[in-house]
Amino acid sequence: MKKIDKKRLFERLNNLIKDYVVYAPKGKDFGKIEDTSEIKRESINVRLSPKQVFLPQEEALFTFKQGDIKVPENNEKYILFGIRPCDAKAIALLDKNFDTKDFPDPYYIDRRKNSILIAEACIEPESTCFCTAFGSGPFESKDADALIIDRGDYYLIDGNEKALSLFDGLLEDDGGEKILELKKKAEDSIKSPVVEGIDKKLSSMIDDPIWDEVSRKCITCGACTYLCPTCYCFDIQDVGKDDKYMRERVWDSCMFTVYTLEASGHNPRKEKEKRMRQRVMHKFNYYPFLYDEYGCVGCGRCIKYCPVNVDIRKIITKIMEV
Amino acid sequence: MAEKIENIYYPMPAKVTEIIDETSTIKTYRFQMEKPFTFRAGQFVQLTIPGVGEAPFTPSSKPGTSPELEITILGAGKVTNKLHKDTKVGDMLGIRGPFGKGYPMEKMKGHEILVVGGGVGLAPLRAGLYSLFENIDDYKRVSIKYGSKTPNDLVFKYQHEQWAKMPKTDVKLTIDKPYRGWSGTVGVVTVLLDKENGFDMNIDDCYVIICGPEIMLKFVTYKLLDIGFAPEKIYLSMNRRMSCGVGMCHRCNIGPYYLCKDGPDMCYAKIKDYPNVFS
Repeated sequence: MKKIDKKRLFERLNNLIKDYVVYAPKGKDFGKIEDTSEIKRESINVRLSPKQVFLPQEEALFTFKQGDIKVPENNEKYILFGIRPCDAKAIALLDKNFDTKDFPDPYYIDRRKNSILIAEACIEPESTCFCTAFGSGPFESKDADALIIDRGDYYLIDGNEKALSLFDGLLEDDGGEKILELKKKAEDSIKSPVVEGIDKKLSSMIDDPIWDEVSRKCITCGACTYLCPTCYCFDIQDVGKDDKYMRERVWDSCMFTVYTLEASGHNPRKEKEKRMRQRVMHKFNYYPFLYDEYGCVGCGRCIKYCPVNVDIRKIITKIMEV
Repeated sequence: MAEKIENIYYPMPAKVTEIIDETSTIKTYRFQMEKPFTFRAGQFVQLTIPGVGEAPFTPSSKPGTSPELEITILGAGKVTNKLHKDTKVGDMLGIRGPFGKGYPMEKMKGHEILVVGGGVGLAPLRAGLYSLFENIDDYKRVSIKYGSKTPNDLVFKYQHEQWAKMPKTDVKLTIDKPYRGWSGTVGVVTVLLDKENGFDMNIDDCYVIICGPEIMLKFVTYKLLDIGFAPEKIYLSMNRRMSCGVGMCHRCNIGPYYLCKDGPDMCYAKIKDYPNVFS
């Protein structure tokens, strides 16, 4: 591990803004910054997750004008500074969906391959955090290019060459500083539900009354899915007229009734309990089936921002108790 | 990560060269593609109406490679209604694909084939029929059971007789309710799976491909199971809402499977224990 002075790191980041698009926590949400003075956290984990960098809420796939199709060019390089280890893991999960062998998504991959992820360890996790349920933790470094740990005037930093080279000349010896205790304290403060075996358990719970129970108060607003760093459902829509239009990709949500509504009127997931089941099954049964990993990273956003206090941890616990 | 990759969202220009009125609500569009286009029976495409959007359709023309492509479309939603109302011969639309796996033509070789269609659902199946007829020696027999609301709603009427004349092939039609001038079978398409109406397939040696409205898929499947078909032999053409076509947008999933990527023709045995198959 190395040590880096905070002030000098921010000076360097300010210089890097010339060559990189830099995203960082900006108060309430994660967003693009022009100067490091904008970096601020209103909470340990900010509301909008970094998935917006690679899968923007709206983006043009191409524009069409009098017979000519133009695909927007993107040669930007990105630094994501101060994401959390859970968000870094979420990006690794998104990679599995968008960087496939048969049909890789060019838009996602162009941005992703030119990005550097710098995660910041969570010294004091929030009450809604439950990353440890999924084999991750507040100091997990494996899904980011670098991990930084806040020590007041300086950060401890560890990472790959790609990330560390950004800070050439600024890295000092860490003086043998130990973080084990800090890490243990952070991990111990997290109260995670037990999830072991939930994927197999869910396979036999398709017709269980639990779906009705856990979805009763849900107003299907979709906030959980928009804020979820691993949710990626999208729609493709045309905006404009036939001789000049833009084909857009926009976020969508499996919690919306119209999501699966067909032109015939048939809707395989008309009732909200079916949509809740879909969301839970996708994260805890289909994801493990496809990728051998859960589709949830325990960031807690869906718990914190649900307007009617639906708590995915309680749903998990209920499932495990059945 | 891949360095230079093909843009999967880019539609190929396709010019409308002919519009055939099949019924009062269904039309077949013939397209001249910018470049020869290759697809397997049952695979689908995303059709672009510029400025309106995309919708998924399985071509109804002969599979293989051709600069021409036909799609048979029922006017039902935003894209299809606009298509029926405003699209003329000479218009330039867009097509991307093909997507999905299509019908299990290889697996079906050496067996009897039952083709069950409902309404416009015969359109994707026609591509399958072209493939079957082209290699008819590879199959023991082909039996087509097709139902629609009224005689006026039957598509490809001009071909039924021709199909019935193919070797080892029979065609049976039915309409939902009695209709003036109709002397054939009456009842929903499941009645054509009754012995009284001449159903004589060797159930243990028969594969079924079905396409139609979901309510029809459901009752045909239940009927087939009832008369002894194994779930492994039943293939459902499930053409639900799809956006990306490549298993990314997640809209069309049944359990961990994607109708777009793993289907749209799904083996019933594969999906039967997951949610939202027929309910």
